[in-house]
Amino acid sequence: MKEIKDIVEYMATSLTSIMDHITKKYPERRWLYEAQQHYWVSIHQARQMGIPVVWHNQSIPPELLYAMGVVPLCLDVLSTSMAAFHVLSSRYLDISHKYVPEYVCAVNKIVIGVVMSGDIPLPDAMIYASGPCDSARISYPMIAETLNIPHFSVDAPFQDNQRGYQYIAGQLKEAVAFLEEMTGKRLDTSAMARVIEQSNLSYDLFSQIAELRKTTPCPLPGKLLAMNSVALGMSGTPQLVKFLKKQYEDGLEKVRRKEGCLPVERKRVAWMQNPVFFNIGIVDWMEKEFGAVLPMDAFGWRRAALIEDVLDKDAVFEGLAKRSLMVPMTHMGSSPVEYWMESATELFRDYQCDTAIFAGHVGCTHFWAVGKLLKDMIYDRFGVTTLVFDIDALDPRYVGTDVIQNRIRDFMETIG
Amino acid sequence: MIKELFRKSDVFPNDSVTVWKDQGKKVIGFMCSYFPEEVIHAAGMLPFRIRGGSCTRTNCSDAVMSNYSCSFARSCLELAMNGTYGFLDGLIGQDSCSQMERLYDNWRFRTRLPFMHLLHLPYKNSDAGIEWYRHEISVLIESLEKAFQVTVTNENLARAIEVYNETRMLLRSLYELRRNENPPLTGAQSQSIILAATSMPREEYNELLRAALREIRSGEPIRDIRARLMVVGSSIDDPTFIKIIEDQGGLVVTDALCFGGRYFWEPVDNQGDPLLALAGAYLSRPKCPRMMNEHIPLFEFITDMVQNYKVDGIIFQKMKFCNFWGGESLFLEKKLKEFRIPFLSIEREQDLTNAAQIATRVEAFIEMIEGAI
Ligand code: SF4
Ligand code: SF4
Repeated sequence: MKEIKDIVEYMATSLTSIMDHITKKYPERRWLYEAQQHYWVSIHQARQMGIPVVWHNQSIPPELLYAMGVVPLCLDVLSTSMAAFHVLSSRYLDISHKYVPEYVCAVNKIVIGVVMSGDIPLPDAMIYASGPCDSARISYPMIAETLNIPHFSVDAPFQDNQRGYQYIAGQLKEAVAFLEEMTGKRLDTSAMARVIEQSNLSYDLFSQIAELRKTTPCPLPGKLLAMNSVALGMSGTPQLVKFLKKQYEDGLEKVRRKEGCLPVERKRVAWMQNPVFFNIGIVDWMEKEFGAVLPMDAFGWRRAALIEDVLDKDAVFEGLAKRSLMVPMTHMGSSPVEYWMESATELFRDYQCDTAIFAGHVGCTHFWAVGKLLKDMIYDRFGVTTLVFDIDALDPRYVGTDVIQNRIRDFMETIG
Repeated sequence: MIKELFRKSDVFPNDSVTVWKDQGKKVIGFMCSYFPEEVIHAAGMLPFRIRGGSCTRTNCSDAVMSNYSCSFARSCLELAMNGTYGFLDGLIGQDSCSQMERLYDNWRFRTRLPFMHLLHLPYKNSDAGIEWYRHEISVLIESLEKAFQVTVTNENLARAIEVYNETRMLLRSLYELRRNENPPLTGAQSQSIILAATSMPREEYNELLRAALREIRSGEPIRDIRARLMVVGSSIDDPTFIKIIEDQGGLVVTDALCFGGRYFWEPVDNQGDPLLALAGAYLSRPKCPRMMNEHIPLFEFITDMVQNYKVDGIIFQKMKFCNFWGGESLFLEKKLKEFRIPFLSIEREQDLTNAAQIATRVEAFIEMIEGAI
């Protein structure tokens, strides 16, 4: 493998090559990758332009960082994006195993591998919150302490109420003071308002897209659900708005024409956990092979977490706190199991799913620990049997595409 | 008396719990060393710390929690499902780690108890965190009062703090004896004594412990110690693990375990608002890696122990699927190397299926230390 000096540069260059290729061959698909390309190129350029880079995890809303004029890099986006580059992700996973046990989540292990190999320039600061799970809770402070990165932690207990939001909001304000000191940038109310307006547009689009996806036949393909996770790093940017707007317009057009994303829709699958990040194309295969569409997954973005008064500082911080708890993995994983059950219920009740697949990511030990409760609930309430099997969503060496396809094929054939 | 304490820790419910129940009094289970037991004591009930003990078969809980859950949590659930915890009148869950939270979820759905309450424990020790925890404790008190028709007064809380502080002081004296060149008790015995504290009425325990300390002081010191060891890492609630280490000729003289030194190390301030004092003391107690901003204090706690107890080597044991201690390796192992203390990093399961392998590795580790001393 070619030696890599800077993984951010590698991602930026790779996405640019992918875009060049797509522009030539399939120009109508450009929109799918534009936001991602912009994301990696901006982070790469920030260094050259002297703009501070701040690492964060998925439970810190990036809006806050965009509003401060720093460039955020969401570490979970780094690993989930890199999962598609198998040689690379395997290399970093192997490196991580020198430092932490294999059962730590690959979302975090890829980052550990990258930072410990020195293949990434260190940031000006790092800020992380306690969602979504133990693996994240321990990995990010460990990285910061081990590499002496100036860092700030936000305690985000899952209390989906005003008191919970205020507690987190108070800490986000402290985080801003910390970042101001570390980066020399200041949080300006009007910049914040502009960013929040953009993020409101994204959240609104998420909820409208989710509404469209309830339609039978489902107007949009399942792959987009996985691609939407770029929001973890891009909420608050016009590029994310553009990406979602295109999804919405395409979906709306299909609904108007009473068309689905498939010529014939045979099954509506409730996907209960993470996407297969190392090959999100598996859902394309399901669509083609079985006419099985994913109208929504249990982790899918679907709620409009709007912040009404973008100029009211307290309202903005509380709104961001709420968004921190609403990040899909946190909303389902840090909460009592009823939240995951409710999400599953929506899939059957509102999205008319008739098939259930729990391809449980091995790193998500906390989902596995209540997988049986969920499976039983789905059967008792909806009479649907769930296909359960384990994968490492970021590591095809654990269970590869062919094995996953065989499991799904057998299941589809059995249920008919 | 010391034998009496061992017996109390060995079986549960032990006879003290049975007598307590026979008097019509309530027993409330709790799940984490960050839980302020004083609150239950002040409500006139018995706090009982949930553990998996020497549960070796986890067939039922494996089917429920899957093999991807830590076996400590699975063992606890197994005992809940097979009725061993049938003596509990209530359970307080905590989000100490995801596995404990999921244990609570499964328990709630499978064997409901008359009283169940989830207490949110901050992941950060800060002024805001302490205030948060204080509020959480006050909410818990309200629900206990409502559910059991009891009143928890500040006086009761102050009295409970006094009783529990006495335990802390007595257990510190016990640990003091372990600093001796030839301590009068083994690490496994010491852990049994601590386990008893979490599973019987506290006044009775303090009395037994006071008498046991007299016995221990006049006991025969242990000689022929091949290495003075410290154990750190995931929950150990069964002294068998420490016994395996000691059977190889090492003596465990101290630890940083939540069923060990970290359970009782610092007293609770008994002045002013008792809830604030409890919240502050519990959040500031010697650290677990779950606390996001306390990894350096945790390391310092370990190195202070190394110095004060003249530790020759550390056994860093990680329960499989324990993310907190597994992840802590990244930082802790680097720091231990810099500190130049020999350490042995091992993975284990609650049922100690790899006991022989652990014994071999510990034996080799001790030989390595002997070679270096
Ligand atoms: S919730 Fe699951 S996938 Fe997400 S970081 Fe945690 S263990 Fe990994
Ligand atoms: S051993 Fe680790 S994972 Fe298991 S209950 Fe304890 S802290 Fe949680």
